[in-house]
Amino acid sequence: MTCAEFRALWIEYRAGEPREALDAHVDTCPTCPSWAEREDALDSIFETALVVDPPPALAARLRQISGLAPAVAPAPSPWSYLPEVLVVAFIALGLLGLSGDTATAVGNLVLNGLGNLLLSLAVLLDSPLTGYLQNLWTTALGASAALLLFALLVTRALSYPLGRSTD
Amino acid sequence: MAEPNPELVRRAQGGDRAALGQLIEGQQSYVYSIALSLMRRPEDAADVTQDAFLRLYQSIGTYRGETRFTTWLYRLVTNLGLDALRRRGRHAEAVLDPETGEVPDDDPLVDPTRLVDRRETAARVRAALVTLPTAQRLALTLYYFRDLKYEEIAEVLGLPLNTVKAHIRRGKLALARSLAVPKLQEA
Repeated sequence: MTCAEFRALWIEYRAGEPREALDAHVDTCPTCPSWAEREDALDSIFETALVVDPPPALAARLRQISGLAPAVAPAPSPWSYLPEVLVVAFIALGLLGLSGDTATAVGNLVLNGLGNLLLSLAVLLDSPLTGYLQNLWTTALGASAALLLFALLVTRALSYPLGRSTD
Repeated sequence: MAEPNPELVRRAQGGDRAALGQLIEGQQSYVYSIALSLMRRPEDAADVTQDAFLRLYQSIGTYRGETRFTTWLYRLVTNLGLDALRRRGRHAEAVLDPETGEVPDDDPLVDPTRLVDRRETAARVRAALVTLPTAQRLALTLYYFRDLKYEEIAEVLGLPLNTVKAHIRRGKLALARSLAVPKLQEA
């Protein structure tokens, strides 16, 4: 490789590309190492002049652009809709006038723990289905009696404005 | 390294605010430098830079990954700058005129180790930059981003590869001369 070829290739060399041929010439040439060193120094000066940071006022304006993007909410889990589905199912059962036994069987199947919560809400809101659900609940888990009792007590203690007296 | 992580780009495409903010912060110097090379006036460059990132926000979903993200973004800001110049009555073809002919092979014999006054050196380079044709200045700017290949610079500018190489060589030579002449006169 001649010095002229080396200097042409040096300018075309880009970061990340193989440069064995360039290094081989630098190792043997008496003049090109200092030439390459000078080129590096010039490149550093030119780079500083050409690649510049934006003024602070512009940088502040640019930061606002990312704020235009809508916040990404995490995708809801399918299980998050379960309480609503169960409430709708119970209302549907009541409206269809299914027998207490059928409703109880269905309730036993799907409720367990979550049923206690729904029943408690029905009591608190003094829903027309309260009696129906209470009947259903008594056939469910015995341990959940405490939760219903708690809900009834809270209703009375607070005289919940939306509800009627349970007396 | 100017090229952002592809995962960051994907998150920004999905509407992730933090990712978009990170992307803008990582690219703002490069985009502003391109805009400044084209527009010359800092106020105009600021407007083009802001337009470029607004356009990025609106159209990042259309980026399909056929080219590197930076090539796509730098092409976007270059086109915006050329449009702005065109509205002022300058033809884009005239701005990025194809340059032909041999590149002079003379060596300005500048010795950077003698340039001890950094402020004076920077001022001389900046003064020389203003006198360069827009295409040379823009090609040099992209060249000093360091991680763009010549082919990618040509793609951003929409110019033939050999023209881009000629612009870069001529531009470097002109800048070197701006530093060399006064020193030679002193000697």
